[in-house]
Amino acid sequence: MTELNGIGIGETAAEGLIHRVETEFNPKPKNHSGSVEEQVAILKPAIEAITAEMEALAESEHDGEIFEALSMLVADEALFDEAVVQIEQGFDAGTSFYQATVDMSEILKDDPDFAERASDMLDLAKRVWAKTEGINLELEIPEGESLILVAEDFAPADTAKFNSSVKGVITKNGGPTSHVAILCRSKSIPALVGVRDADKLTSGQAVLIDPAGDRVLIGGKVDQATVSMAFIPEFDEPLIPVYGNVGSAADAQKADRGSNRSWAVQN
Amino acid sequence: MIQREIEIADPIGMHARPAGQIVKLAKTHGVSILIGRDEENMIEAKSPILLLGKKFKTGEKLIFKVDADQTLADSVLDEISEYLGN
Repeated sequence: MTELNGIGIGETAAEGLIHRVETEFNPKPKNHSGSVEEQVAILKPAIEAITAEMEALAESEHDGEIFEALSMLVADEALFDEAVVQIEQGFDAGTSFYQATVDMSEILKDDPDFAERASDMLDLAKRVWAKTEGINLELEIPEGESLILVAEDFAPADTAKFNSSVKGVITKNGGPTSHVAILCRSKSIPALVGVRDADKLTSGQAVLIDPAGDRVLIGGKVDQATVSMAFIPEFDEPLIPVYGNVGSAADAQKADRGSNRSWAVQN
Repeated sequence: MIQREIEIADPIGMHARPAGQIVKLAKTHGVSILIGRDEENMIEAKSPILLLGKKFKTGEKLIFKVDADQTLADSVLDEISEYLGN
């Protein structure tokens, strides 16, 4: 049975069918052949649409404040002005907005307090770019199924779309403090992040996601899940009365002070 | 111009949300809000991203100037103070 490894988030294992999500949208920069006005007329509604999406997500219970902030960043006037400069240089609407965002996010990148916002901005810029080309990057997850989502990574706008079909989440990138890891922890969704071989997983495959074992088992069943060690008391009164908890035999002798009890030393 | 010094009390500094809220506030009231560490380096609150770029941190005392009459300026400055965790 094939086993892929990563960093597990959560304790409970879950079975489900792999559902690959292609959140990657990597178009090449393009020039426009029309007028500046035409491109601005394409860009404006695309920005407005993504701003509206973020504002709608700001009403959600999880990460509402993040989405409110994102809606403000994508609608930034200085960013728009910068994009218009790029359009005037000959780039099309989507390319211009993305390049303007790359330039402006540079000012945030070197500061750890703001670096996360810089990557969020680039994600938003890609959504705007896709919108200018009539592509919808909004994540759609079918209802009423048991799915283990697989992607390079999930942005806040993606995780906001997680529904009850999502039984587990696997990402190729990211670590235990990435946005999706934090969200899965708070929603008790088992997750495995930093799975380098995630590309080996194909949609429709039945797998067991086993976060306690830091692994996903292709074809695995829930009875193969790693069980965390637990102490289960079977009697109210302990069979061996515990008088103390010591580290060595010498400690035990000191603590005993001649009472002649039996001592067990736990290493 | 009505002026006030406001300290950033928010533990993560002036991050995206308050920066956006201040820009929105200026737009909603049709006023201009200037922000800076000192009188010589003031920027107008028009772009949340450019405000973020200033990297105003927790505990910094910033000068805010609002181009409005005393009553409106006071209420705008009170709002800003609240956005910054005060």
